[in-house]
Amino acid sequence: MDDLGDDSFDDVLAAMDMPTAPKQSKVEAATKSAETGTKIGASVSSTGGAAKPPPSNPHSIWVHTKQRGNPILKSILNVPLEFRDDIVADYVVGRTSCILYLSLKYHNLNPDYICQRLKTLGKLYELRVLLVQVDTPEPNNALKSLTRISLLADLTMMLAWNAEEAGKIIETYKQFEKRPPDLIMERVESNPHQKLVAALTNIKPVNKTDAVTLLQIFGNLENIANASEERLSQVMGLGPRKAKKLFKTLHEPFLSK
Amino acid sequence: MSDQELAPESGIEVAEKEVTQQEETASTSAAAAAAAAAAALESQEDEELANLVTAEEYLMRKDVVLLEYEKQMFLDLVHTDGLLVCAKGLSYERVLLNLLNVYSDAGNLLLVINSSDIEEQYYKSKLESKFVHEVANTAQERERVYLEGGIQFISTRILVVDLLKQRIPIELITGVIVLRAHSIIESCQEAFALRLYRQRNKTGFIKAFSSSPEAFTIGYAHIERTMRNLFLKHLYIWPRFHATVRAALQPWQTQTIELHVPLSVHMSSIQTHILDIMNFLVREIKRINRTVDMEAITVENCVTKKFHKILQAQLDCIWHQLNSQTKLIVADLKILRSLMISTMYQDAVSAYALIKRYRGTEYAMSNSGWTLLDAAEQIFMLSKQRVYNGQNEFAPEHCPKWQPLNELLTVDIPSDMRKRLGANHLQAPKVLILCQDARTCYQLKQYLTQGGARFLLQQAMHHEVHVGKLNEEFARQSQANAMASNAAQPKSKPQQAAVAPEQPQLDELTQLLLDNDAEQLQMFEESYMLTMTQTQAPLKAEPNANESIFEIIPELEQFDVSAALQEQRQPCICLQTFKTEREGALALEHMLEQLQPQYVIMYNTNVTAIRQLEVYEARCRRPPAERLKIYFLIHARTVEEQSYLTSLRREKSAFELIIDTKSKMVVPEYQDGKTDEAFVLFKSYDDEPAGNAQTRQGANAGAALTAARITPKIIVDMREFRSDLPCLIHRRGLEVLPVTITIGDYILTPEICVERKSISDLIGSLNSGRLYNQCVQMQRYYAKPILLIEFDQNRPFHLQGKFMLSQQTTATNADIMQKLQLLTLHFPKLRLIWSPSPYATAQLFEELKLGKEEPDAQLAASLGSEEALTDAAGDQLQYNNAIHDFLLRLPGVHTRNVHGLLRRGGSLRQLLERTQTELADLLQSTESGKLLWDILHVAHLPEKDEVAGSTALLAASKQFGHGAHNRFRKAAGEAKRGARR
Repeated sequence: MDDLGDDSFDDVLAAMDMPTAPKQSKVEAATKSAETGTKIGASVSSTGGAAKPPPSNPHSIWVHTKQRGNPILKSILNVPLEFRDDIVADYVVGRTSCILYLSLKYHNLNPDYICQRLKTLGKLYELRVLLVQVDTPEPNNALKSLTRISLLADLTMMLAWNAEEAGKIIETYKQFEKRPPDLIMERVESNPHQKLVAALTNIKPVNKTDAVTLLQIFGNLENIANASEERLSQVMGLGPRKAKKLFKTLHEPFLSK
Repeated sequence: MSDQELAPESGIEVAEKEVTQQEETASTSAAAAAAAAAAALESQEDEELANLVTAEEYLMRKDVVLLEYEKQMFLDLVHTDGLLVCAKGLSYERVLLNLLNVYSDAGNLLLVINSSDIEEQYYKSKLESKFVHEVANTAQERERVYLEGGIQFISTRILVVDLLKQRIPIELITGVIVLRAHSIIESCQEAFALRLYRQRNKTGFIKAFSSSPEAFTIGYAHIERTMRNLFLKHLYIWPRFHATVRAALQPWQTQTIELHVPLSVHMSSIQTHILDIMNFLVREIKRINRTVDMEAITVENCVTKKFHKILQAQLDCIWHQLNSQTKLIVADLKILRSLMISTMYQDAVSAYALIKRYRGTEYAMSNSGWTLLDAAEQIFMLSKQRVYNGQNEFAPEHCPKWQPLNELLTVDIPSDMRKRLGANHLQAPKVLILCQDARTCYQLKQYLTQGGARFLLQQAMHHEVHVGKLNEEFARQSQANAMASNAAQPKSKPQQAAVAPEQPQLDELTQLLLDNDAEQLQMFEESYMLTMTQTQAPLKAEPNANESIFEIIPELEQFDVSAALQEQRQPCICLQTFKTEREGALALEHMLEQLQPQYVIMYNTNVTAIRQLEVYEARCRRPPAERLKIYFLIHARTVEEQSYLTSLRREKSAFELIIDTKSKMVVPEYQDGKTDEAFVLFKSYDDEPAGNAQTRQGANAGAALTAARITPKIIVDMREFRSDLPCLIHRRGLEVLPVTITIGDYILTPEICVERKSISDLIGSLNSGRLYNQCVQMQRYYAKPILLIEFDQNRPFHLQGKFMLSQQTTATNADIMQKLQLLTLHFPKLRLIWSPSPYATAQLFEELKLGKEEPDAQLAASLGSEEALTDAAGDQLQYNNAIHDFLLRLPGVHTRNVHGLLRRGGSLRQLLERTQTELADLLQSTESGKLLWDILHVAHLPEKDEVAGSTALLAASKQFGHGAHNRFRKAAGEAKRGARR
C-alpha cells in the first residue's frame, strides 16, 4: 500500500477504512464548524472508556470515525455530524438506514474491499445504501460489477458524480428520514369530492366517469358501500364486471387472514 | 382458409429463376427496351396481363415509363437483393413504385417499413388500392389482413410484436422493402424486425433504398454496418456522375441562363465582416480545444445548410467535456449563420431587425465576445445603413434579386415567348419560381403583388422597426404601388386610393397597420399562384413603377392547379418552395407535372431541385425548342454560391467514400441471413436457430427432454417496444415474449421485475407520482423489484448531461435526486440499476437470468389486472390490497395511520357504524377522525368549477370505446415518430 505514493490517491485512501492504517486525521476535524467540533470531541473522549455510546442527538448523522477527512463531509452543512467507531456502516442516517461509501477509483484498486465490508454489514439495516462516487473516466465495467453485487447483497445503489453530490445525498437521507412520501405521490386535490373520486377510481376497472356517476346517484360513500351488487350493476356504464369488483373491494374484510 | 393461403408464385418469382439468362439479356435489354417501347405503343389495345413475365418484359410494357438508369436500377433490384443509394433528386421513387406494382398481388405479402408519411401517401395514391391494405387496429383483424396478401405500409413497432407473437405468417412473407435505409442502426426496431423475419424466412427478399449518401459518411463503417443490419450483400450506387445517369440526362439538357446578380455594396461588406468573425471564432475554438477533433468546424461548413447536423454529429458525444467558452462559441457560430442567411435572403428590414436583437446588453452579457469586435460594429452600422439613409430617413434598400426577377417576368419571358411562338401567339407563359423556404416565398409574393416599398414598410411594422420619417422617394414609390394595387383590386375600398395621395404618411401607416393584422393571420404558405395583367404603354413613362400588376389567384389550393389553368388564359406564375411540408421533395415533381411550365426561375439554388428538373426534362423527351428554360438568379462569388458548391462537393465526396468502401468491403457469404450461419454469431443459446422452433414445439407438447437448452425468456411489456432494449435483448440470444402486463416493464424471473425509466421518464414519473404507484405494485407482487435508470448512450453518463441547456440545471437535478432518495427510503427493497446504455442493460439482464427460473407469461399478465390469486411475496400480505389503497386515498388516512386502521377496523361496513370518536381513536387523531367520518357519511358535491368537467365526462362516457382506439393510434404514431428520429 505504501508504494502508492501518488498524491492524488491520498484523500481517497484517507477516506477509506483501511484495516492496517487506522490513523486519525487530526487537522480536518478542527476546521469543521464549532458545533460538530465539540461533538467529535465528546465522542472521542467517551469511546475510550465505555462500550455503551453516550446518548446522542437523534438528529445527527452518525459517521464512522474512519470516514473522518473524507471530502464529501464538507458539503454536509444542514445536519450535525457525530463521529463514532461502534457502527458497522460508514454512515448511519436513520434508525433503519445506513450508507456505505465507495469511490470507484478506490474500488478499481481494491475490488475486494466492498465484499469484506458487506460481509461484516450483513443484513443489519432495512435500507442499505451503497453510495458510489463515479470518479473514473470509464466507469461502466466497475459499475456493472457493483450493480450485480448490490443486487445479490440487497443494497440500494446510488450514484454521485462528485464529492459535493455525494455529501448532499447523505444529508438528504438524514433529512428525509421521517418524511412521508407525499412528495412523490400523486397529488390529490384537497376537495373531498375529488378525493372520493380518486379513491374510487383506484379500484381497478372503475374509471373517472363511473366514480362521478356513482357519487351523483348514491350521494355519499355510505350509500355506495351499503348498496347491493345488483343495484351497483344497474348504474349506467358500470355493468356486472365492474360492479362485482367494486362490491367485493368495499365489502371484503381489511385483513385477508 | 386454404384459398387465402399465400402462394408465393407470381410473375416475378419466375423472373428470379431466370437470373442466369438475364446476364446476357442485360446488355441488350437497353436497346431491346427502346425498340419494344415503340412496339408497345403500336399495339394500342390493352392485352390481358400475361401471368408470367420476366422483369425485362415488364419494363417493355407501354405503361412503364422509366429512364434508362431507372430501368437498370429496377433490374438490379428485381434480380438481387440489395441496398440502393442514389443521389438526391435522381428519385428512386418511380423504380420503387414499379417494383411495388409488380408485387401487388393477393398472392404476395409485401411489407414496406420505415417510410415517412409523405412517402406512404405518395405510393398509396399511385398504387392499386385493391392490393394496398391499411394496417388494422386489432390483432385479430391484422392477422386476417396479413393473410390477404398485398402491400402493407406498416409501423415497425406493430410489426415486431406481430412477428414475435407469430401473428404474421413469417414463412409466407414475399419480401420486405426498407426505405430511408441510412437510418437503420443496429438497435432500432427496423433491424429487429428484419432479424426476426430472416430467422424464419430464408426465401423472401429484402430491398433497401436510400437517397442520402451523406448520411453514410457519419460514424465508423456506417455503410457496412447498415448492410449487415439489413442482411444485404449487394450495394448499388447511383451518383449523378454515373455514366448511365449522364447518358440518360445529357441529350435532354435544358436551356439554362445564369444571371449573376451583384450584391449591394452594404451586403457584400456585411458578408465579409461576418466571415471574418466566423473565421476568428473558428480559430478560437480550435485554440481552446487542441486535443479534441474539430475537423468539421470550418468556415466553409459554417455557411452550409447542414452545419447544425455536422456539429451535432461531431460534438454530441463530447459535449459534456467542452468548457463553457467553447459552447458559447458554438452557439454564436449558429447565430452568425442565421445573420448571414437573413442578410443574404431576407429583406433589409427583417435583417436589420434580427441584427438589432444581438446588440442589446442582455446578449452582450452572454456571448463569447464577438460583439466587441470591430467587424461586429461594422455589421451593425452597415445593416442600419441598409434601412436608413444619411438623413436618418427610412429608405430601405431593395433586395438585389427583385429587380432582375421583375424584369425577367415582365420583359424577358414575354419577349422570349414571342420569339418562340411568333408575335401573335395566344398562349400565355407559365412560369415556376422556385425558392428555398416559405418565408422567401411569401416575400416574393408580397413583392410581386404589392411592390417592394410597400412590403418593406410592412416588414418594418411587423418587426417594430422604428420608421420615423419616410424618405420622399420611398414614400412616393410605396404609394404609387398602393394605388396601383388598389386599382387592380376593385374589391378593396376604393376611397383609399383617393385619400392616399393627399394625406401621405400617417394615413398610410394606420392603414398599413390595419392591413398588417389581416396579413399576419394568413401565415407563410409554401406555394402561391399569381397571375399577371400586363398594362401597356402609358406607364412606360414612369421607369421605377412596376409595369405590370401581379395578382394572386385567390383561394387556390395546390391541388386544383390544373383546374385553374383551364379557366385562366392569362399568364400564370407559380411560386413554390423546393420542399413542402405535405409532400416533401416530391412536391416539385408533382407541380411540374401539373403546371407544365415553359420557364423556371431558380430564385435560390438547390441541388435536389436542379436534378429534379433535369429528370423531368429527360422524361418529357421534348425537342430542344420546347424544353424548359431555366433562369438562375445567383449572387456569384458569395456565400450563396459557395454553400451550393459545398453541398455538391460534400455529396460527391460522400459517394467517393461509398464507392471506395464498396471496392474494399468484405461481405461474408452468410450476410444475407439465408443460411443459419448469420445467426450463430449472436445466438448463443441454441446450437442452431432452427432448433429454436423445435424447442418451442417440444415444450408445447410437454416434452421435458429438450429442457437442457431452453432459450432464456424475458417477458416484455407491449408498450416497451418503443424502446431499443427489447431488440438488444433479443440480439443477445434471449427470447422476448411480448405480453401486456400492468406491473413492471420486464419480468426476468418469477422474482425479478424491472421498471425501466429513461431520464426524462424518471423525472416525469417522480413528479406525477406514477413511479410511486408502480413501485407499490411491484413491491407487492415481486420479491425483487428493480428500478432501471437508463441513460442514452449518445449522451454523457451523467444526470446533468440531460439538462445542459436549461438554466436551472442544478436545482432540478438536486430535486430529482432528493425525490429518488425519498423513493428508496419508502421502498427499501427496491433495487436501483444505473445503466449507461441499453446495450449494457441487455448484457446485465442476461447475467441476472443465469441459472434462474423462467418467468411465467400468464401469471405476469394476470398480476395486478385482476385480483391475484396467488400470495406472492410481499410484506403487506395481511391486508387486502385493494381496500388498503382505497382507504389510503380517503381524507384523514395517510401512510402512517393506515396500518392501525386496517388492523383494528375490520371492514368498511364496520367503519360505517363507528362514531366519530371511535374513528378518531383508530386514526389516533381527532382531526383525522372527523375528516374520515365526514367523507363516509356526508354527501359531497363537486365544486362549481369541477361541474363542467364532470358533466362533460358523463356526456363523453358513451363514446368511451373510441378513446381506446385513439390511444392505440396515438401510440402507434408515437412509435413511428420515435423510430424516425
